[in-house]
Amino acid sequence: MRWLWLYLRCRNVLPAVTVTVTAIVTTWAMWVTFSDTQVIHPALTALTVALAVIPISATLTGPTDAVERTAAVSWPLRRTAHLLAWAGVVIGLALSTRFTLDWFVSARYTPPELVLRDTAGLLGLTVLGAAVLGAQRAWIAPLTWSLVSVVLAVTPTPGRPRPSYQQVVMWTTSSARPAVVTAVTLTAVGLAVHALRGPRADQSLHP
Amino acid sequence: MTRIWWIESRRSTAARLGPALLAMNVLMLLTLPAAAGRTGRWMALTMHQRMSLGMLLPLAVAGGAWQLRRDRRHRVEELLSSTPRPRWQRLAPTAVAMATWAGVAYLVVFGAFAAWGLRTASYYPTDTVVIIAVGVVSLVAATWVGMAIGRALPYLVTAPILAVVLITGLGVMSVLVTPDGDEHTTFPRFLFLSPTPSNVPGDAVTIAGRVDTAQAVWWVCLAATAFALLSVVTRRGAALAVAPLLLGSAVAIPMLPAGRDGGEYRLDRTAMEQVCTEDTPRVCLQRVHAYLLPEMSDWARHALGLLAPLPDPPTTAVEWRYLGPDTNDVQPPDTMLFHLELAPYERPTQSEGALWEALDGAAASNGTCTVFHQHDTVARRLAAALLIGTLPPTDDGLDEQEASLFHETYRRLSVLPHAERIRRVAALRHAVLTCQGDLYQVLTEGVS
Repeated sequence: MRWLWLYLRCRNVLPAVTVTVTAIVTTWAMWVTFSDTQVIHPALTALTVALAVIPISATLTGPTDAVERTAAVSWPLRRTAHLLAWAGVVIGLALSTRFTLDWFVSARYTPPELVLRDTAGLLGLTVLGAAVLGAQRAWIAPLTWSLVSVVLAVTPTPGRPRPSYQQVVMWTTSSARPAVVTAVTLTAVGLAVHALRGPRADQSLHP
Repeated sequence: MTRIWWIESRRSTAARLGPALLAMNVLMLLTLPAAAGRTGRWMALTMHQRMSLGMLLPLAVAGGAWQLRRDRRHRVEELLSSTPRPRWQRLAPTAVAMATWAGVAYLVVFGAFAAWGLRTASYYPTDTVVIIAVGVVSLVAATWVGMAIGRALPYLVTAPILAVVLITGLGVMSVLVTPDGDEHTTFPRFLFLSPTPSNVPGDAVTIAGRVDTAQAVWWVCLAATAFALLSVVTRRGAALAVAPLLLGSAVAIPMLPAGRDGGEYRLDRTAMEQVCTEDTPRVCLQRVHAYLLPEMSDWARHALGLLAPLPDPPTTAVEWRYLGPDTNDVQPPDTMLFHLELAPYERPTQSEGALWEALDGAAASNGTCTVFHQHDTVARRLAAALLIGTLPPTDDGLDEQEASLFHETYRRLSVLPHAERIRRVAALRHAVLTCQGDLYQVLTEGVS
């Protein structure tokens, strides 16, 4: 227990989780207040999930990363557990809005499979970004990609369905097969790379 | 100065911002719906290049903010503030490097796409140069605004938060200027300062000259203010730095037209000129679409052939033109007016859709009638389906209820004898031209 507490503290998990919770709760509260429907728009769901996932990038390394790496503990296991716990918080909180419907006229994040897919895929993309660019810049890829995706999703298209390369570009808001494949790939590659290698070591003198 | 500029070009965020903007710009041009500029519509490409600023500006602001975190990240702020060199001299090469590569990325992408469409385009409006130049100015200003904000708030979260807030903000703004069906809705005119054009009414329009001027003035002033905020060291200096922006707003905002849908556009008379086939039956397109004439005339003549059995059939096919929000394109009754809806991702006239568009127009008003009924769209498409003898490839343009009404009615009408179907379509065309009767009722009388 003591190890866990120290880990959470040195990784600044508490402030980051606060941002995550705030994102999910704020969007939900705004929707309940200002919308007539009880189903949160999928594009907004995708954006909220992104805003909830991305704060993990602040917790991927600590101030003494180089020292930590030399410790005789199984980092792959711990890094994976860190990711899974984050996914649990995001998915659990987002999907639990469904139960508020039993109490009063509220709203829920939909569709549930989109929440699952986006959380997994964006977590994968974030840790991939950390592995390639360093934890400091890990937010860039998931944020940019999901903003593009959301903008495309709310831009009206006259007529025929979008071609599959566009379904890949807008994978966080689409449910087409290319989008699902992209999400699964990002999840798998991200999980593997993060478990085996972890974030890139910070090369600046003072991280 | 040039030497530091080149070093900064390689070592600052500029080296990443340029490629990032380039990639995002290409992505935007490839994915925005109706981004068919590359198939030869010069002004459509220009407008889409300006629309991509909706994503590029937030990215540039975030990049600028990220760059100004460098001193804090390396803990040299205090050291640098103790040097005698004026702050603006130290920051100018970085700011110019950021601006250069942002602008170059924007121009390179436009140039590449323009070259792609060069072979096919039939009309090259010179306004394009001005419109793209204003886009570059806004991108430079955005980069420097980002740097100014990054100086004030040199934190890790500044850049991502700016990106999210700006994209959401620009999204909300474009919703504000998007028509809600009521063409008399107004909005504050300063929203026209946004460099992202909304709801472009066709290919034969351009941005009005005074809107271009106002936008250029305002964005240049914003860039000046941002650069000043970047370099000032005293409170009084910061207060003075806002002066250009205030001045620019005072000059630019009164220049803008009243805030209503389409207010920022001007009709391009040259682009609208009719270009017709030499031989009969005559088919005319707007100059801006003239490159499609060889293919489109085949489809239009096919449509005229299908209409031939009707009494007093049309003998000429003319493309419908946008003549402003309250004006109709009026044509004589022997002319078939058709809407050239250019499909987003392909040359439209390669598809069978062109025939449907043309026949839809055959049953549409010639501009003289302004009375509409609930199921006019369904009735027109039914007439086209009865003439062609098959169902249309898609249900585009119909909502769910209309689509089911269409299919149900088509089932009942298609079993009628040929002569009877022609008679009903003729009655519908008569109703259209005389502007009397509900089209759907005329077409389905006694059957539904």
